[in-house]
Amino acid sequence: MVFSSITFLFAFLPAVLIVYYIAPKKLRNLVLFLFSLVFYAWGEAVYIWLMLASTVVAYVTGLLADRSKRKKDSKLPFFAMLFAIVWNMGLLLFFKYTDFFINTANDAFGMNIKVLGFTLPIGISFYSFQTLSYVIDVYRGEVNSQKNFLTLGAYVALFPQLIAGPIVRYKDVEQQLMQRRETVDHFAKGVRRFAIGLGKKVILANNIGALFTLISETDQSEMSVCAAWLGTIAYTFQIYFDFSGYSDMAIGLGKMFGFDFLENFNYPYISDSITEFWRRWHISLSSWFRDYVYIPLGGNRKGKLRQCINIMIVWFLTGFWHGANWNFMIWGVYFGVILLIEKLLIGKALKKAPKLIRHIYALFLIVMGWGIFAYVDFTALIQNFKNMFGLGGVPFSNRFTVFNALTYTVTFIVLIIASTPYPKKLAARLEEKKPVAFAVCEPLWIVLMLIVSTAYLAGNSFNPFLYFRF
Amino acid sequence: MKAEKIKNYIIICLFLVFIFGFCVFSFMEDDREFSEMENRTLQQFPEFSYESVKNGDFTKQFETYMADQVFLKDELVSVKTISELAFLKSKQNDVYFGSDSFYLKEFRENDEQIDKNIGYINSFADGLPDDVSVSFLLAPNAVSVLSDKLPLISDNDDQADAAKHIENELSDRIGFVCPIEEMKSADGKDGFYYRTDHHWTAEGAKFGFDALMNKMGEDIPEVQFEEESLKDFYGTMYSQAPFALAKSDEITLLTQKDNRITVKYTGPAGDHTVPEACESIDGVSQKDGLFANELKEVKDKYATFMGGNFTMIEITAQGAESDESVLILKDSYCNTMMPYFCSKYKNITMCDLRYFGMDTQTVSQYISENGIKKVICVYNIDFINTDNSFVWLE
Repeated sequence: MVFSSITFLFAFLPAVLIVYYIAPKKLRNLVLFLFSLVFYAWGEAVYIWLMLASTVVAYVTGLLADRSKRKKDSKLPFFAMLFAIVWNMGLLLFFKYTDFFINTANDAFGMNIKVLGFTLPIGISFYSFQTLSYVIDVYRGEVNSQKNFLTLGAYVALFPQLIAGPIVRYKDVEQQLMQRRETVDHFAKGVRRFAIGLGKKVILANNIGALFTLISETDQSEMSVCAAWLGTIAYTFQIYFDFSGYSDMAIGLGKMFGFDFLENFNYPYISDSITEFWRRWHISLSSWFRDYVYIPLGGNRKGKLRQCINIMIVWFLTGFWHGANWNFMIWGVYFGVILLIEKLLIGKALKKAPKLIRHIYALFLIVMGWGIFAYVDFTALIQNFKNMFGLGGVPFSNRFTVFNALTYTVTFIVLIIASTPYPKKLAARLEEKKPVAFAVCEPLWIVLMLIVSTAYLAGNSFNPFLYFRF
Repeated sequence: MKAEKIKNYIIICLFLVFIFGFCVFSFMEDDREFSEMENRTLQQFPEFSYESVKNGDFTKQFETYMADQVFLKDELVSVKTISELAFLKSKQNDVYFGSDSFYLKEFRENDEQIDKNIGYINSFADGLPDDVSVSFLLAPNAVSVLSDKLPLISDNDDQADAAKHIENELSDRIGFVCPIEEMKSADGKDGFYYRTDHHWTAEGAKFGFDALMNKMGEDIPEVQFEEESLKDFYGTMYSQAPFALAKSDEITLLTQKDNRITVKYTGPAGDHTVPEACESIDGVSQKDGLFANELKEVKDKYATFMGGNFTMIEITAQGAESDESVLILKDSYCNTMMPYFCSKYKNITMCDLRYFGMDTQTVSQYISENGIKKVICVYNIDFINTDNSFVWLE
């Protein structure tokens, strides 16, 4: 199930809210756990067993990996953690990457091995990382092992963050899992956040996504240099509003049930460098890789060369995590290389450059990155870049381009404004200067978002969800 | 601090009223079987069984059910249209919002399909005996005749170019006419098309009929028709982009006094079942008059003409000017023209290739068996540009 659906809004959410708040405190984790299982099973009933198995593995290895409960020289915690790593990486490799490796081997060596053809279990990339971080944190002694299976189960399956993150770490929600206070203040914050996320996803991302789909499916004979740019920029906005909208909804829903998840996005498109961009984009993923790959590999403590290698490993894996396709790996390596260049070569020069130049520099590289990310098909990817840089044998512009550029002008203006912190600042200013007006406008604004989003959901069949694949 | 609390309560209440309101009303309201707005049957509550849950049918159908039966669905779709307009988008679902409340359907020329279709028509026409004449009325669409109503930002191909292309491709033995320029410069052209529907009106159809008769070298019967108006017609394009401020249309039904018309539905049903007034005589449904009265009150009022589209309809018009038998290969644009055709020809067979099946005789066989000497094609440009049923002419 996805949040941006009529079924979620008007069937699942009312049901879970009612049962959750009627249930006594003791049973609330059970309620969340059961509803989360329904939420998960909704799309792919079979894989629910896989997730439950992963939860059991996390539960058992978590208990065993708790060194405070063992003798000092016991090897058991280490092997428990090792098993958790092997299990989670094994699952990911098997379900997400086996077919990719088979295809690659077939292509490279002319072999003819049959692919498995599994559909990717929903959310596997997210819950594998979460359960793994739990066991590792227990082993490191950063967090206590969880003796109540239900509590851990509620954590793993927690539906707000189940299928598309943010990657919530156990240590960040441990306290809330065991005792949390759902307050009016919290719930209201959750509503605000959810409504904004829903609007970002349904009104903005889907809208501009239609433009990207249109252009990416346009015949080469109809394309132009500007159309290729328009399409890639459209995708740049689509993926941000799609994913950050979904994160907003997840964080908002979390708050409705008394949870505080960490932020996942922080206006990434206002960045002045790629280093900054990656501090603002998909924060829960990059910090996961930092804490569980980069730092264990030695981080920056083992010399410059080693640090460079570590950075490249992390970025290769980050790319690969996004999907079993070459373009995602290239995308990861692309950013790894840029980060290295910024670190070693141009970092200082960049700091001295005028803000506008820095911003254009960063946006250009970000858009190029999405150009790589957007096309799973390599031929299409290359063609798009050729078109963008005038090597595709297409005109600079044409009627099709002008029409779509004009049709989406207002949409682009809204997207640009919505990518900056200004609307939020403006709202804060209004609240401070004109509290009464704000008190009237804010609820109206939220209701408007909800109604218009529902209208889009009811009125169109165009509701693909991008981050499902990952 | 207290004000903060009140604000929070207000926001929470609004949210809960919103989701629980839609939830309760969506489930309480009687489920609709059919959406007139969308012109399709809607998903009903899915069957709940171990099997349907296991194979995923239940969840899929439940999602469709929720989306189809959500409370205030049609109003919500209208809200979406307004939002799209607020983004200054001039087009929704391939339909432009034109001036004077006209909806105009986008036209993108598809030469591949056109050439295929014309190829079928040509080989059909060329295979007919020499004494059978073939004429072709190509009806332009509102998007070209009323192009001055298009919004500032629009991107359409020129239908005049498409018409020229079709004319060049057509076999020499087919007499072709497309009154696109004439309609564009005619007075009262605003009345040629519905604002909310993709068809032409009785007036537009009359213009087309006259152009066809002139091309065929026939004189145009002078007839006084009795008029009946069907009000509050919201057509197909309105359904694509429903909008609260849209203006409804009026359909004019024309009846000629002293011209007794019998309609036989001889072929398999098309997009509608035969009209209620039909009697079955020797297994063939037939009735008097061109209109299906029971459809006057529904949303899909255009189907009042002939009761919709059918594979084969045989019409006898006792008061027609000429005793000739004609075969008309047609799309739905022709349905509005039928009062005029009935004033002209006594025996008319309407053939809609879209619903043609393998089991029936071929069109050529029908022509020779029924001694038909005149074949008329009536198609609108958009139809030739997109339809793929002409293969049945083979």
